[in-house]
Parts: sequence; structure tokens; C-alpha cells
Amino acid sequence: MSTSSSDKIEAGDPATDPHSTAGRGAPPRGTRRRLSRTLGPRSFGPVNWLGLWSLYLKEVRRFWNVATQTVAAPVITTLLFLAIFTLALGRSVETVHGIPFAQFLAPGLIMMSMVQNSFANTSSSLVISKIQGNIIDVLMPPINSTEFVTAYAAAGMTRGIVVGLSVGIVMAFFVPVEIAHLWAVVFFAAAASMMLASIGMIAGIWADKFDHMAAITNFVITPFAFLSGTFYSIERLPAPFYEIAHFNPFFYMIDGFRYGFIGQSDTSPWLGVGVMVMMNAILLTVAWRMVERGWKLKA
Amino acid sequence: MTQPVPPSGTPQTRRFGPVNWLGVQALLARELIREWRFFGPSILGPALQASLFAAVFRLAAGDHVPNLGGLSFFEFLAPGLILAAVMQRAFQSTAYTIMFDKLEASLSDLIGAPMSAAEVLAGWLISATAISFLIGVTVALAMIFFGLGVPVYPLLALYFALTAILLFAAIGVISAIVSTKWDGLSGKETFMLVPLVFLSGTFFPVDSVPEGIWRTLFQLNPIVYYVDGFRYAVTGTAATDVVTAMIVACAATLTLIAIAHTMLRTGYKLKA
Repeated sequence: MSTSSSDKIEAGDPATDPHSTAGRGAPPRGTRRRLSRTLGPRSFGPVNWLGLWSLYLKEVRRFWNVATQTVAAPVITTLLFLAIFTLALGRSVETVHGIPFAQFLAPGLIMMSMVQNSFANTSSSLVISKIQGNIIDVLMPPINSTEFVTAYAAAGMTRGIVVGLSVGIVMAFFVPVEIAHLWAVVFFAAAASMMLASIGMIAGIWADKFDHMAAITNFVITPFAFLSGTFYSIERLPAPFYEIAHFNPFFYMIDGFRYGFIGQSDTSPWLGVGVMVMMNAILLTVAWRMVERGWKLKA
Repeated sequence: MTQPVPPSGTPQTRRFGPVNWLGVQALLARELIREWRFFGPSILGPALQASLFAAVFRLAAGDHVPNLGGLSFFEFLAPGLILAAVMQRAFQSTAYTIMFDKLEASLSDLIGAPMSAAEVLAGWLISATAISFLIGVTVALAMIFFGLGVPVYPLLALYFALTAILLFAAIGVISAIVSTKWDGLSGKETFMLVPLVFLSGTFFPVDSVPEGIWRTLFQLNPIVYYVDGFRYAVTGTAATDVVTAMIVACAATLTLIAIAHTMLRTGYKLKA
């Protein structure tokens, strides 16, 4: 915590720092120039790396402090899903795409836990900050919109990936987890958590109350995540829904991620890559525009 | 110090008979209003959640029809979904409000009121029952919309629903009293309660659990009896004996209510 800007200014300021040698007698050579620089506004290059890093760390520590709720809880919930689905359907649905049902299910569940947690991280952080009023601490410092969005998105991704990794590791004890295409696993994990972190940011900026947040989670995120092929191959869907499913971006992330594990997918993973890149570009731009204009954030 | 003589007509210490009806009524009204504010906006959430589960299970099962003792997969699933939603809400209903009061220190208003432990507990349990019942009805309507038939034995269904609600409302009271922080409460919910509910045969029949230690553990979970009894009442088919289920349900609920009552009476973690 000692790296905040006010500490740095005070350390060299003779008026507030009694231990400073700067105020007593002649300053050593070179001190004056350094002093004048520390007393002025902090200058940094085109990117405020310190600010970006501090905001990112703050966001990561926020969820890490309550890791039981933010990491362990999703792991347990996902394992429960694995248990109930394999117990309920394991005997009747033996294979999907020629893969044992549990192995088909596992990547979808990992992805579902990742997207839910990336979304939860950015959205809950912003809503809590807005309600408690400490959002101002993030808006005041010399952090521009790009840095703001980058830090929040990166922290959301971090939580998503930490949860996904934990779920994957724990699941490996129960279900054989094999990776067929590592690039797809890495790409879709990163892209999906980035996408949901951006949606979380947009939702968090929009929402005024926890109720709004709960409504989005219940009525938007959960249905999309549930109905996008986590639990079944979309070939099962009847006529209109099969086509509609292809307009659901969540379908591509789960399908692509699963392709990384079992080497088979409902559509081409490259189409998924395209959809993910496009969605991320659009959503990050929207989030950036919101922060830039200060919509619902600044007076 | 001499007490000034109150002018005539000023109320003396309020008197009441063996039961402080006014107190119970006031607490109940307060809890119901608060429940509505707390949960009102999310009243349709559980119904949507249950519909999603139903849809997903149906799609995942596809043409394969698991052998569920003559029931279609949906008929098997729907009663479990209703009861799971009701049980979770009953727990949240008492646990969240008590935890909130406790942390805001407004629980002392209730402890200081001339109400016995039984009266306070009754206020909490009745309000939780009301809201959970409402949730149960919304979920049931959604399930009926998806093709669930009307309960075969409505009174029996009511019996199992009510015992389940009271059980979880009592567990909610106990959990909130024992927990010192929100973390502790949500930990109990995620790591104990939800697993108990999800692994109680809500979604799968007993005989899909592997034989041996897992099966024994599964049958030690008392919630299995509530779910199975409720399923029997709704569909007319059960895996275990219904009379046993009724007895277990009654006994477990009464035990938990008694524990909650003892905690309230002795002021465990509530009174200094």
C-alpha cells in the first residue's frame, strides 16, 4: 500500500516529512531537480502502468480475500452439477459424439463456471463500488478509460481462469480430462472470460441496485449459459431452436472449448474464433465508450 | 425515586395472556413486508431456474428414456425441482433476515420485546412458510405448463411441502444464529445445504447411486425422504415406503425446530 501517489509525494516533501534531508541546509547535488519533479503532477508515458497494475491488483485481491466464496464455492457447485447429471443421465445417455457423457459434460461445466465467475467479478465489483460510493477512488486517479477497462477485464479474466483451472483440476479426479488441442483450450478460456468480464462491466455500470444485477444473472447469463450446449449437443435441438442456437455466442465458446478437450465440435472451431474475436471487440468497445463518457459513473 | 402517578388513561405495562398474540402478529407483519421487499423482485427467479433445469435435462436425455419406475423423466424430475426451490427459499428466508438483523444489531429489538422464544420462532417460521409456499406455487405452475399433471394426493403433497419448508426454515434460523459473518452463512449454504438438497434424489433415482458406501451415505440424508414422499404425493410412485417417509419427515422437522427453539430460549450467541 506504500506505493500510492500521495505517499511518494510526501516522502520527498520537506514540509511534511521531518526525516527529509531536503529542507535542511543545502540540498545535495541533484536533489533539487528530483524534488521539483516529485512535487509536480506525476508524469508517466502514454500508459500509466503503475495505475493499471494497482487497479488490477485491487480487483484481484478483492475476490481473493473471499476465495472460499469466489473460488471454492463455484468448484463445489460445478462438481454437484457433474454428479447430478452423470447420476441422472449417465446410464441412459452413454455417449455423445462417441464420447462418454461425463467427458462430454466436463468441458462445458468448466466453461460455465468460468463465464459465470468472470461476469460476477466485474459486475459485482462495480455495483458494490457504486452503492458504497468508493467508485470515486477509481475514477479520480489519472487512469484513463482504456486502462480502466483493461484492468477490470484482466481481473475478471483472472478470476474466471483461476476458477476454471481449479474446477478442471478437481474434476480430473473423477473424469478423465484429456486435452486434444491446447491452443483451443487456452484461446477459448481467455476469450470467453474476457467477453463475460466485459459484459459484467457493462451490466455493472448500468445497474443501480443488487436487484438489477440478480435479474441479469437470473434472466440473461444463466439461461444463455445453460441453453448453449453445456449439457447436450445442439444437434438435439428441434428445428427452429437449432438455428437460433447458432446466434448464441455462448454456444461458440462452449463448443470451441470442448473441441480443445475432446477434439470434436458441433461447428468449426475457427468460426468460433471469429465470433469470439468479434464479440470481444464489440463488447470491449461498448464498455470503453461507457467509461469514457462516464455514463452512470460520473456526474 | 418516586414514580410520578400516570394520568388516567395512560397505558400501564401491557398485559397479555399465555400467548402474546399482538407480538406474534406484529413480527409476522414486519417479516412478511420485509420478505416481500427482499425477495419480491426475484419472485419468478426460482420458476425460471427450475424451467431451465427441466429443459436442459430433457434435451440432454433426448430419446433415451431412463428407467424411473414407470415415470417419464420429466414426471420424475418436476416434483424434485419444486421441492428443491422451496427448500432453498425457506432457508434463505429465515437465514438472511436473521443474519441481517444480527449484523445490524436490530435483533436486540426482538430479543428485548416481551415475546417468548416460541413466539419469535413462530413469527419467523410462518413468514418463511408463506413466502416459500408462494415460490412453490410459481414453480409448480411453471412445471404444470411444461406438462406435469395435477398432484395425485394433494394433501400429502402439502404435508411434505410444509414439513420441508419448516425443516429448512429452522435450519436457516440455526445457521444464522451460529454464523458470525455473511461468509460463514453463505459457506454453510454452498458447502452443506445445496449439496444435501442436490444429492437427495431430486434429480436422479436411488438405484443410480453406486451400491455400497455411496448408497448408504445417500440414504442417511434425511432430505431423501422428503423428496421421495413429495414425489409419491405428486406422481403416485415412490421408491421408499411413504409411511416411513412421513414419519422421518415429521421427526426431522420437529427435531430441528426444537433445536432452533432451544437456541433462541437460551440466547445462544444472541444474548450476552
